[in-house]
Amino acid sequence: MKNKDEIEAIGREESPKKYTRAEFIRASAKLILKGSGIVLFAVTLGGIQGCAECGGCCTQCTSCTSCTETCTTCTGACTGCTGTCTACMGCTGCMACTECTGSCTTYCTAACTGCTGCLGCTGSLGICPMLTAR
Amino acid sequence: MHSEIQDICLNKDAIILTDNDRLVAYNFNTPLFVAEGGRLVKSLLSEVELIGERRALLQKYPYPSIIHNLIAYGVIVPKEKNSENKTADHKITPEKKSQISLYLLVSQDCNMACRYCFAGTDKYLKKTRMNYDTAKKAISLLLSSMAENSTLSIIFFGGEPLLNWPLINEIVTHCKEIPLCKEKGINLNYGITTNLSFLPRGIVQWAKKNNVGFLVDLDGDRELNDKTRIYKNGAGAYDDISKNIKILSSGKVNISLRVTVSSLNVDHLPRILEHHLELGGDSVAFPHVSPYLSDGSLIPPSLFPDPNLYIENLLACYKSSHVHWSKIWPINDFFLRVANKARMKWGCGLPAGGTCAVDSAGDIHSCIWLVGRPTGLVGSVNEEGNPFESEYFSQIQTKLLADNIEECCNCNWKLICGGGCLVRHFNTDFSDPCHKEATRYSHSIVCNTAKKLAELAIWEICQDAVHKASGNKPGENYNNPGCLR
Repeated sequence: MKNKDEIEAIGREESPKKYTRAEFIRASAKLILKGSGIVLFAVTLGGIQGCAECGGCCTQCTSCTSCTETCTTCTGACTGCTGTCTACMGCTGCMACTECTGSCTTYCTAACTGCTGCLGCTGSLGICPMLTAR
Repeated sequence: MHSEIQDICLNKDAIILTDNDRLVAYNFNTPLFVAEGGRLVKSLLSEVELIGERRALLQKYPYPSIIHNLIAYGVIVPKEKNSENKTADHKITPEKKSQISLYLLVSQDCNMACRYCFAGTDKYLKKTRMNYDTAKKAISLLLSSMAENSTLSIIFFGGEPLLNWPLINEIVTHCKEIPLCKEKGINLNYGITTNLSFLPRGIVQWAKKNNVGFLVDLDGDRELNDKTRIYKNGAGAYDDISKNIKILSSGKVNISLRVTVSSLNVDHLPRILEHHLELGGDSVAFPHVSPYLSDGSLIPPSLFPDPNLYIENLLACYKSSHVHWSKIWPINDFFLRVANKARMKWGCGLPAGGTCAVDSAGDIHSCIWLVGRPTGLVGSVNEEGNPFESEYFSQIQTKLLADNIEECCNCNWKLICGGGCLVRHFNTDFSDPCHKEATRYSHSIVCNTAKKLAELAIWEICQDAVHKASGNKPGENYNNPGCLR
C-alpha cells in the first residue's frame, strides 16, 4: 500500500513529484439529462483524495457507513457528525460520503446540521491558515 | 418519494452561478452543472419562490425531468425543510479534540520592527521569554484535552521565536518522551513562524530530523520587502532572510513563505509568487494585513490593501500558467472547502478552541491576535481545570456563529466562508469612527475575497469533472477555460 500522504501524481505532467493528500481533488460527473436544449450533469464531489488502497471512501470522516476495512487508514479526523437522515437512513450527515445518491440529497441536505462536532470535514477548523504553514 | 412534494422553494443555502448559458447550482453536496440551457434553468429558478407550488411551476415550465432533478438534487426543496433551523444545535461539546494548534509564544521580543506588526508593545512585545516549565505545562494541558489518534500541532511563535531557540530545541526533545502521546497515539507536529533574519547553528539538520515546517515572512523581492520588513535601525532585512531561506531550502526543509499583503505590495502578487517559489518556498500564503493590533489599536489605514486589487491580484496568481493552485493560500483553502463540501459555521478554529496561544507567563488566549486583550483571555496553564470546558468558548460559539453575525446571517455564501477572520468581532470600541471604519473594511475584504474565490473553485471543480466525464479536453467544449491544473 502506498503511503497515504504520498500519492503519486498519476496523469499529471509533474508526475515524478509526490504530492500530499491535500493537493488532490477528486470530482466526477454524470450526464443526467439531455433534451429541451438543456445538458445537465450531476457532479459528485469526492473531496481530497481518500483511501489510497480503495480510492473510494471518504476523505477524513470515519463515520461513513460505507467505510470498509481497508479504509481505516483514513486519518479519522471526524469526531462524530450527527444528523442521521430520518428520511433515507443512509446518510450520516457528514456530507463527505461519496455513497449518497441523488435521491437522498433533498433530505440529507436538510438533515445535516452542519457537522457541528466535526473538526475534520471543514478542513480549517483546527488551524488558523493565516498563521500556520500548509 | 419526491412526487409527493408540492409546496416548494429554493434551498436557502444553494448558490446559483451563471456564465452565459452555463449554470451551476452548488448545494454543498452534489452540485448540478448545466452545460447548455443555463438561461432557461436560471429563469425557472428565479420563479420558484414566487410560484411556490410544484404543479404551477410545471405549468409555466413544462419540463418535468428538469424540475424532478432540481428537487432530487436538493436545489429546490420542500418548504418545510427550508424553514428548519439547521444551526440550532451548534455548540461544540467539550469532548476530546481531534486537532488543535497550540501557539507557544516562546519569545515576546523581536529583533525587527515591521511597519504593520500586530503585536502591541504594551501587552504583547514585553521582551519576555517563555521558560521550560511553562511550555511543559501548556503542552501537558493541551494533550489532556486530545482524543486518541488526534493531532497536536505545536507552533513556535513570537515575537521572534528563534530568539529562544534553546527552549524550542528542549521542547521538541521533551515531546518525544511524553508517555501520553504513545498511549493515545497522538501525533505531534511542529512549525516555526519566523522572520528568519538569523539562523541558529545546527537548525537545518534539526528541522529535517524532527520534520519541522517553517512559515517565513517575506513581503516580496528586495524592493518590496524592505518597505515593510525592517530592522529596528530601519535597514531592510531582505538579504538576510533570502539567504537563510536558500540554506533551509537546500537542506530539504519544508518552507512556506508568507506575504503580508498591504497597500505597498498588493499590485505585485504574481511577481512575488514567482519570486518566492524560485527562492525555495514550497508554497506561498497571501494573507492581507490585519487592521488590528493585538492590543485593540489600529495600524495606519494607509497600509490597508484595496479589497478589489487584492482579489484581482490573487486571481492573477491563479492564472499564472505554471503554478499549481495548491501552492497558493487562500486559493487552496477555498478549493478544498468546495471539494470537501465544507459547511463552515465559523470562520476559523477559534470558537472550537483550535487556535489557542499560550504566552510566556502561561496565560491562554483564544487567538494570537487577542493576546493581551481581556476578551481573548481563556485561562492559564497554572490554573486547575480544562479551559475548553469554560464558559468562554460556549459563549463565543454562539456569538460568532455566522448565522448570528448581522452582516452574514442572510448571506448564502456564509457556509463557505463562515464569516471570515473573527478578530473584528472582538473590537470593543465601535463608537470610535476609525475603529468603525476598520471593522467595515475588515468585513469588506473578507467577504469580497471569500465570494470570488469560492466562485472560482465551484466553477473550476465542476467544469473539470464535467469535461472528464464528457471526454473532452478542457477548452474543447462548453467554453471551459480549463484552469484546473
